[in-house]
Amino acid sequence: MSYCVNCGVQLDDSAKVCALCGTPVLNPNQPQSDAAEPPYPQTVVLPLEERKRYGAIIASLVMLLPILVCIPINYFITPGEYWSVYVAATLILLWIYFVTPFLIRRKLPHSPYISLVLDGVITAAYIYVMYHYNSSGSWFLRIALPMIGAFVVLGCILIRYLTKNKKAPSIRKIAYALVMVALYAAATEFIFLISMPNLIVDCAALSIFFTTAVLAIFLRFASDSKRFRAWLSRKFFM
Amino acid sequence: MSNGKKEKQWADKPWFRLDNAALIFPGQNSEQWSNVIRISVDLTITIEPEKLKQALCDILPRFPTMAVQLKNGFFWYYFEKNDNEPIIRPDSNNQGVRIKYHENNRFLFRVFYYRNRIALEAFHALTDGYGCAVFLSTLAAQYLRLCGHAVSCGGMVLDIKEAPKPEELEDSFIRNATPGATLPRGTHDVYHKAGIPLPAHTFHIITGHMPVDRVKQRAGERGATVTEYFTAVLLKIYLDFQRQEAGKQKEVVIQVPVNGRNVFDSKTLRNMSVCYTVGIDPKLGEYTFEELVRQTSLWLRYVNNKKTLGAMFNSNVQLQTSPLLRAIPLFIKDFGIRLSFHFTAEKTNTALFTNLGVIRLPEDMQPFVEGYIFMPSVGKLNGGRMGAVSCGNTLSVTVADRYRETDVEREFFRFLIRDGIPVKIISNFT
Repeated sequence: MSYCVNCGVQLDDSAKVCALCGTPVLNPNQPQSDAAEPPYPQTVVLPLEERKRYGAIIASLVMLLPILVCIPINYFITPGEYWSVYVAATLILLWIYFVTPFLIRRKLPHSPYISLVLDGVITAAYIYVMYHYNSSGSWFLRIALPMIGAFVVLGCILIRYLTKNKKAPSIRKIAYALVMVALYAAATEFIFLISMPNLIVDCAALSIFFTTAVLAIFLRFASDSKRFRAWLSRKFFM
Repeated sequence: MSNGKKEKQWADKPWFRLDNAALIFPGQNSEQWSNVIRISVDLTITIEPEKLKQALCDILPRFPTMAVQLKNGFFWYYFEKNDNEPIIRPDSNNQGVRIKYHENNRFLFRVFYYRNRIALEAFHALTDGYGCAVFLSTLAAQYLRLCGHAVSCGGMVLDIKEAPKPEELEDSFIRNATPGATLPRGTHDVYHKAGIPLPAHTFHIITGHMPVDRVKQRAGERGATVTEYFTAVLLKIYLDFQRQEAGKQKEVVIQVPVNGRNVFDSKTLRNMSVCYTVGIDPKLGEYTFEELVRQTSLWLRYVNNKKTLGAMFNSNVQLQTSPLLRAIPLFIKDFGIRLSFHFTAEKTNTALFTNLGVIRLPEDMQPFVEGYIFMPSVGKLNGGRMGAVSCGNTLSVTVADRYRETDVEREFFRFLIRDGIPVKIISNFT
């Protein structure tokens, strides 16, 4: 029979520390015996994971139906036109965006990267379909593809930062995300400059770059410097 | 509804409605939060799983409201008789985990055994703490009988040879609601003690055993009952926590479920409890413990009467009687209930203290029973939710907590020690 020296409560014979305050149990008259059985079993039985995959599979089948209906109709009734391609492309795009995250196992390493790269690939493919049937010129190779590539790369860097620094203050995470937005804006500006030097877009991307960059530097500084935060609260109290 | 019609419903119909309090629980059931209450009994003999399973199969026909599965209708959920074989399993360290309707052979309760302990975890839609206690006591009695001990019936041990009685199966809320009377519900935001959550599906369960006579004496010295005394202790420790945190001082509100069976002379084995709330606003000034006990006991005695309860029942029953609400399809109702639980429910309570009261057992069973432990469902926002039950001269207060910190438990039991009540602690985290 031991008591917690800190709380004054009587403890179970099997207790090695006080359940309330964590103080170790040291009773010289009654050395700790492993024979005493704990009041509750030590095995933790976790319930089965929720079966979201079933829902995802059903959603996949539902999305497959219009494709299966449209393609034969297109082929037999209106040959020569390609309208069913849009239906199929759109549904596949939506399927990759919204259903595959539930089909990929969460515990799989790099699952967010896989999702993002898949999203990038399918977006590029979707835009290529639109480009192939509707448009001419070389904008797909020179603008769309580099922009999607930049988006995926920057997104992967952001995911890596967020997963490696889970305990970072949220201000710093926001600052990092803003840096990525700034970099993306800069990349866009650069891509347009290289591939379409004659197109005048009034530096729209550059203005985004400067705004987000300044905001990111400000937030980063605010999250790092205690003195700066103190100064801010002193100056802007209401 | 005439008595004859009611009996016919129970005898012949293979399905029945959820009672009024149970309606909300399937709606708010989620992966993180489902209302599972747990009650366990420690016997003096070791539990043999085969006999326990036999005992469970023996008593299930006596409890038609427990041997059910939950089904979706178009407008409401309903219970259907469950003819599957019940499952018993060894106890685990993490108790009171969420209920999924398709698991466990579709039963909404689970039975566990460990050493000399039988534990019952039941979805709140089936019954409340009292119903669980009756089911578990009858199970334990039948188990003792299978082990060769003569145990009679009485108190919370039902006679399993009898047929289920209609009054045990009724929805007492509807019968006792006062038509037209309503009471406003608390909707404002109150103080919550924050903490770091434990990993999903694991909880801190800390039980303090204490002598009933000493607690009664300490409470009686202040002119309070045991429930009022403990509620006041909770109010005090939460007010102290809030003062230490030195943030915005919000009201501290303790939810105290009350068993309506005593007031309305109901014998139902389904839900028959509603929650009173006791609130203290720290903006009014600093309260001493004596003032808190006085406030709590005066308030609980002021509200605990047939009139208030009838009005509270009626506020809840309106969900079932309003033609507009009834006609809403189930999935929209579920969404509405989930939403309303998100914005009210635990947001309007700091903590919960539920006292199951005294477990009444037949004379010849008492030598085989060491004690009961009653654990309320683990909260989502409420750090510690407390359940008390007394058997013989032992009162067990169990705190179910999803946070890593044990501040509430520590301060609570330390206060009792300082007040001269000896406490023995057992926990699943040592």
